[in-house]
Amino acid sequence: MSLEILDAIYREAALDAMNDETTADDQRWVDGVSKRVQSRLAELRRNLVPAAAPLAKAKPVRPSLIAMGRDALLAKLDELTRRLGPSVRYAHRNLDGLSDDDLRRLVDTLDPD
Amino acid sequence: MTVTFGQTEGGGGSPFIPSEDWIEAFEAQANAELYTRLKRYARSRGGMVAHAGRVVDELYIDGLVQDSLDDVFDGVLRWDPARGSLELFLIAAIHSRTRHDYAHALRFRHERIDASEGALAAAEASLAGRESMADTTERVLVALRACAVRDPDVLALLALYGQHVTKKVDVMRDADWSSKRYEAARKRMLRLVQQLPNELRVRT
Repeated sequence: MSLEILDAIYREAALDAMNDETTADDQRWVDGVSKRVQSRLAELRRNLVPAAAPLAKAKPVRPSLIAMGRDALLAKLDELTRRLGPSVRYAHRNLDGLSDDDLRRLVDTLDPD
Repeated sequence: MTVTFGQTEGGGGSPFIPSEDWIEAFEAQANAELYTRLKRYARSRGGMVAHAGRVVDELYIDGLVQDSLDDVFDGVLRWDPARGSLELFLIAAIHSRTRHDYAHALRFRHERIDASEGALAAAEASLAGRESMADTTERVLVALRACAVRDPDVLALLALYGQHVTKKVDVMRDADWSSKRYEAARKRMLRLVQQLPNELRVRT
């Protein structure tokens, strides 16, 4: 009973005190708490990021493509584009930027057989 | 505001992983102003705990705020942004903690034991004559009433608190006071709380 009264009085006093002035020591403490809270929030955000998926190892390019030079690979790519029509889409407009190996992988992806 | 306790430490169960929405809601409300207000609240509540004989210093006060924040982060206290503000939730957490600390401090009273035998004997004597919680709390209220002896309105307010009449509207109705009179009496009562006798003061 008495505890309830004291508790209620101190609750009022504490709510009232929330609008008191801040001391310099309080400000330093607040800076520390802010940093700690930011760190905890960053930790919680990291927990939401799914674990990185394992990298899949590329399968080896078939020997027939390895034997082809750059011109032959570009010709093959042209031929595939014509044959497969609009279903063929790849992100590279400027094939000059692709190495011979990149071209082999591209042809292999478009025509795996 | 009800503080809900989640999975406690060591109790097993899944770890607390809040959603991005929860994190954003927390981030939007957690700022320097909030921490400052919470610390002032905690400092004032610490005054009550000091009555029970516990050493209440800045470390204890800082811990009240920091621990309540950590409990929310750890999922020990489950804050639901849809049910209330973070400030009200943390105030409720500090309120519960200090109330618990008050009772705990009375049960396990802090006694400073110096090297001298005299101090040890005094501590033992003190332990033997330990007050009950009701005695201690009543002693504080008696001290408060004694401070207010020349202020009939504060005495009336304390009497109403004793009857669980603590809300402004109820006090005004029961005492037949205007809002102005209530606010003035309340302010004087809270000032007296800050002026309670020396052994009850917060150590800084």
